[in-house]
This record gives sequence, structure tokens and C-alpha cells, in this order.
Amino acid sequence: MLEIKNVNVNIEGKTIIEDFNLTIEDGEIHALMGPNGVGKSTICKTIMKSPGYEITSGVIKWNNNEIHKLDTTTISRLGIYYISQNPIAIEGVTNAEMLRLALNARSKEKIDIFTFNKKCNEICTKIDLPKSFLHRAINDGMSGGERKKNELLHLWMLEPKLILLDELDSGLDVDALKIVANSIMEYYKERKPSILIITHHNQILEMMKPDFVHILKNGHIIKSGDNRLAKEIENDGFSQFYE
Amino acid sequence: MNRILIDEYEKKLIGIKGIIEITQEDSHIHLDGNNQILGIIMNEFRKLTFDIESDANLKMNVFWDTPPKELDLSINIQNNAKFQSHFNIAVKNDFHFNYQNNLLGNDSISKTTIHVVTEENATCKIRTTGYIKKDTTNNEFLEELKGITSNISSITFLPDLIVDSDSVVANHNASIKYIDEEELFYLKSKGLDEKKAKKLIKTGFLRQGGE
Repeated sequence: MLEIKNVNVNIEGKTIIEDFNLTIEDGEIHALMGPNGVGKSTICKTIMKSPGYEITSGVIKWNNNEIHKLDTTTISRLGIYYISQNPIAIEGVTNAEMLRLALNARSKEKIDIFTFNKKCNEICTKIDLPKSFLHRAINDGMSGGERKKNELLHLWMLEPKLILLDELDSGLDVDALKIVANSIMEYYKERKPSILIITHHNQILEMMKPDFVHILKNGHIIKSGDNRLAKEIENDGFSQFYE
Repeated sequence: MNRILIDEYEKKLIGIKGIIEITQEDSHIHLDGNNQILGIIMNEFRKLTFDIESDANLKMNVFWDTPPKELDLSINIQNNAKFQSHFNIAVKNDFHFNYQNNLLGNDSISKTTIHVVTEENATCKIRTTGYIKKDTTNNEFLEELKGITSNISSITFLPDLIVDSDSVVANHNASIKYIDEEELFYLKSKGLDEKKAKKLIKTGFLRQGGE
């Protein structure tokens, strides 16, 4: 379970998130919506302890671990996985070597290379990613859609229990979005993780069908509902909540 | 891997492929034909000169994780010759590198990339001088210096380009940075600890400097 209680977040001394509260039970899918610039992405980056995001008060707990006190590495190893809006490229570092290191860090025993390769190949087939991507530098020279698929490769390999999707739909055409969303939902069906979707479009929510939809304003949630709330926003916009 | 021993001051090599091992403090190597140097082994201070003869080629790919403390390297390129070099250097102590690249003939190409990372308290100083000789024609010269350092080590690049010809395409650039914080965060968000993440970024960076 993810619990965010009374959290305030500053970026460069400016308060972006104020008195933010959210609980995501195991296996739930939540969506956080709002227009550009209200601080939606800040929530994900804060959970992951991204540099520059200062939690000035409040508590964030993941399965009773106070993760607001922990570092990014530990938070990741506790099973939290983050896909950013624009995954960066790292020249010269291949997907395979990064994943092997990441998996070895999570396991008491060193991962057998044959088992690793077999699993990677199976996942590449599952998500329709060329196997050559394993030995390509992370996201280097890849289109937006390819980068997001690359992040899915990491997701399936690292097997998280909480997935943070920061504007997953950004930079994707409708077909690419369908492929990516379907893969995450396939993972969801198999493993039942908790998911937090950050978006300002309804399209992805129609594919992922969240249990709860929340609207962010002035740094905290001002309204919550089910998927019908997303439909309301699609029809009438955010302005009705921002008067 | 083929290992070629250079144990005299002057030596001519034709069409070699392998690692060269230098035992002399001062060595002068003449190259003819198509040559590939896949590594250079030497200790302490060395002065090394390569003369690339007309119509000859040299491709050099050198990775040093313990470079010599000091090295003077000169490359002299004659007519219709091609020279391509990648130096990938991990500096743990001090390293001074004087690199002289002379285009002395016509219709030749010289391309050099130097990628360097400093570890711990290392100090690295690389002085490069590219020289395009007067009245030479139709040459191409490219040099790229890149470094990753930290707040407890240092890299100094001193690139110099002397162009005495009107008929050349010459370009050099240099940049030094710290490890990108976004890259570090990205790898940490996959579960790598800071030390392993930094090592991976540096290794990847050095890998980019070669083929």
C-alpha cells in the first residue's frame, strides 16, 4: 500500500505540492489529472526522491516503509518503478548490462547469464521489441514509442509492485499508446501491482480503466471519483474545477 | 591478439594489426600499408612518433585504464594517407599527454577522438597540437576531446590548431563535464547504487570514444 500523508514539496524554494494526501491500496489503479503545470509529475518524482524535489513535511509510506527518508536506489529495490514522460538516453550503456546489474542488486545470488538471456528474449517477444535492443545503448537513437517500449522491457524484467506512469501517453501516437498500455495491463493481470497514472488525457484511461480518478489543484487533490470523472473532464475540460 | 614488440629506436612496420609494446623511452615507427593498432603497452614516460607514409593508413584504438604517467605522441602524415585514432583513458593518478598531429602532405585525413575520465584525486592534462603544413592541399583534420571529471579530480584540455594552408577542412572541439545528474537518477531508479551507476556511466562514456 502507498500512503502519502500531508506532504509538502518544494522545488528551488517554491512550494509546488501542499498538504497532499493519497492512499493506493494493493492492486488499485489510480489516475491523477490536471492541466499542465499544476504539479502532477512532481508527485512521481517526489516518491522517487528525484534530486531537487524537497519534501518539507509529511510522510510517504510504501508497505509501512517510510520511503520519504530513503534514497532512490532503496526505493526502487522496494519494488517501485517509474516511467518518466521522456525517458533519457545513456550513451554506451546497454540495456542488458544495466538490467543484469539491477537484478543482481535485488537478488542474494548472482543471476545466471543463460536464465537472464532467456527471460530477456521471452519478454522482447512478448512486447514485440527487437532482441537487438538488449544490446543497444539505453534509449539511444530510439523514437518516443521505442523508448517507452524499452522502459516496458525494464518493467517486465524488474517486476515492480508499484508502477508510476508519468504522462505515458506523451509523444506516442494512438497505436503506440495502445501497445504500451496493453502491455502494462497484461503485466497488471499477471502480477496485480498498484499503478499511479499521471495524465491530462482521457484516452489512456479508457485503455487502463483506473479504479479512482483524482484532480490536482493548488498542490493537492480537490476532487476524486471513478472513471466517469475522467469522462467529465474530456467533455467539459478542467476549467469547471478551476474557477 | 597479435603483439608487436618495439625494442629499438627506429622501426618500419607494414600492414600490422595488433597491440604494440614499447620498451624504449623514445621510439620512431614508420608505417606503410594498412595498419591497425589495437592497443599500446608502455610504462613510465615515453616519446613516441608515428610516420604514416604516403598512401598508408593507420587506425588506432587505444584503451588505457592505467596510462603511463607522461607521454609525448607525434603523428606525421604524408600524402594521400588516412589516420584515425580513438583514445579511451581512465586516469586514476596523474597523466600528462602531449599529442602532436601533423598533416605534412596533400589529400590526407586525420581524425582523433580522446575520451577521458578521472577517478579519485587524479589530475589529467592533455595538450594537443594540430598542424596543417603550408602549401598543402585538400586535407581534412578533425579532433574531439571529451572528459568526465569530478569535484575531487581535474581535467585540463589545451587544444591548439595551427593552420598554414588555405585548402583544408579543420575542426577541433573540447568539452569537460561532471556526471549527468539525470543519468545518475535514472540508473538509481532502476535499483543501481550510486557507485555502480557512476562506474557504468563512465564505462559507457569511454566506450563511445571507440568502435
